[in-house]
Amino acid sequence: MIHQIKHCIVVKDLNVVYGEHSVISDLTFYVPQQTLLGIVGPNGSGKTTLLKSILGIIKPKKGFITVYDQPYNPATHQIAYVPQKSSIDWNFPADVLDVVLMGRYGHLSWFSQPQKTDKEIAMQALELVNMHELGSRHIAQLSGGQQQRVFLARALAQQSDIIILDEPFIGIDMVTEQLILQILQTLRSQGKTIIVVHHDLTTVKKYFDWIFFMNKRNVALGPTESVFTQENIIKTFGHQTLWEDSRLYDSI
Amino acid sequence: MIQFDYTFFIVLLGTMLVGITSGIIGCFIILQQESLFGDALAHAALPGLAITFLYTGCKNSSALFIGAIISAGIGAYFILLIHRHTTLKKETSLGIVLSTSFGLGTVLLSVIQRYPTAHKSGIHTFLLGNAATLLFEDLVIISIIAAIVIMTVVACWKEFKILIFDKEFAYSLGIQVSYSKTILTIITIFTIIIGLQTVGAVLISSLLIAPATAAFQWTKKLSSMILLSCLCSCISTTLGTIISSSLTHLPTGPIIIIIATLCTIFSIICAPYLLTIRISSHD
Repeated sequence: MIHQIKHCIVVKDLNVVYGEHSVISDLTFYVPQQTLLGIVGPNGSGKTTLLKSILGIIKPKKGFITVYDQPYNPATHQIAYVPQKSSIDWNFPADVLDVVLMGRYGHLSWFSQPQKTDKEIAMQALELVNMHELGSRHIAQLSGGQQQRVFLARALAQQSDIIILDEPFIGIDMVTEQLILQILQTLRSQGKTIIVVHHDLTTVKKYFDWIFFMNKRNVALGPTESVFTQENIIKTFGHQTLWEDSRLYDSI
Repeated sequence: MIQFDYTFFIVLLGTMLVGITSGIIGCFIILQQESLFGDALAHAALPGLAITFLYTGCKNSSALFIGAIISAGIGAYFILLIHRHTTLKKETSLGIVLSTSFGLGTVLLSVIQRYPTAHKSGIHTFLLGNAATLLFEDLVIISIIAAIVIMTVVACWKEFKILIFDKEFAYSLGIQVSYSKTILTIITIFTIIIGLQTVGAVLISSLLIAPATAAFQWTKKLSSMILLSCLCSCISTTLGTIISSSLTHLPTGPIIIIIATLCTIFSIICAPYLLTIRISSHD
């Protein structure tokens, strides 16, 4: 009997254009439920654009995207998003708890403010990322790793089934990287689907169950052990020199 | 010698309400790093004021306010249009609208000066402000607009906060970012319009920026930043009104701006603790 894999996200024939510049063309991609999937590709390959298209932040020129077989509506709170931490001004007057509480805003209607339950959920999310003692700290006082953990806690507070993270391991120490990875693996084992844009090829095999190689269009998608090959890396990154990195060679 | 008469209290209340609304909106403006936005909208209001005066022939506050609001709204639309449909940066589109509106406004005000009723009407006060000319009728309009601005900020608190902090995350939550942005722009225009008669088109952006900048030095919460900014505005407007009432021939608006700027300088120097954090975070 063939086991039918359920896909929580399906992207078909996606085309995204900025002005006259094509960023993604004819990309088809799907995400199996309850996987920890890594999206890998060179700079400018459209990884962040793909994430933003799924989230509805960017309107594609062509193609369609479904989440649980429906066109995605952010008001359903099915996807939590962790943007790149460099995308915001960390001098904004807010403390750690304020930022995590923002993860609850989607659950509140216009004119309503976070309630006690929302604060409890936010505190639980902070505990999960080991930041519960820093709730009242100003966000400008956080290290890069702590900032990333706050962003993850904000996504956890959304209580969504799918979590999308854009380059979460950039500019953080190894201890935080392992902590975040551990949390993501736990969430996956609890039934969540995690999608991570990742740049470090040497850790891909260790971190993810599934890989999606892309460079403006889809290159390869599948379980890590079958897709993470020399051929796909060269197809995606387009040059041999990358392959000569001994750390990468060892990781395969 | 200060005269605590009816006129004094009209002027004091008027400038204070303008200061409070500017203190609130100023926080959103500086956190969006769009300090020039207020300046551009204030100048964009000038042609509307002048055209309304030319059309009605008198200085009717309600009509002038409506004219100014429409004109500033058109200015805001042009800023958005230039920014969206060209490769120009936002500051450039702000600069284009600011200088063009100022040019057009100045030409129209010069035309108005030829009218026999022009000087009596005091239409020229909108350029540099003249709080002493505030009437009870103006105070009523200022109070209504201040109430609208404050109630909107309270009602849309979380929408404004997330819009400024992380717009893309707000989109991902399903928050209507474009509605929030439009509402914020409308109440910014309202705030600027009521500030025109008090401090004038040229100085209103200082009243938006200075108290908010002073407050930013002291706090790590948006709510307390807004309260501190309002406090700074109240101090500046009260002292400014008292000083200009006690010394003859001193204009209220510029004195208010000077006091607000002194508050900002004091805050930048005397808030070393937070400044140290901010500097170290940039390292």
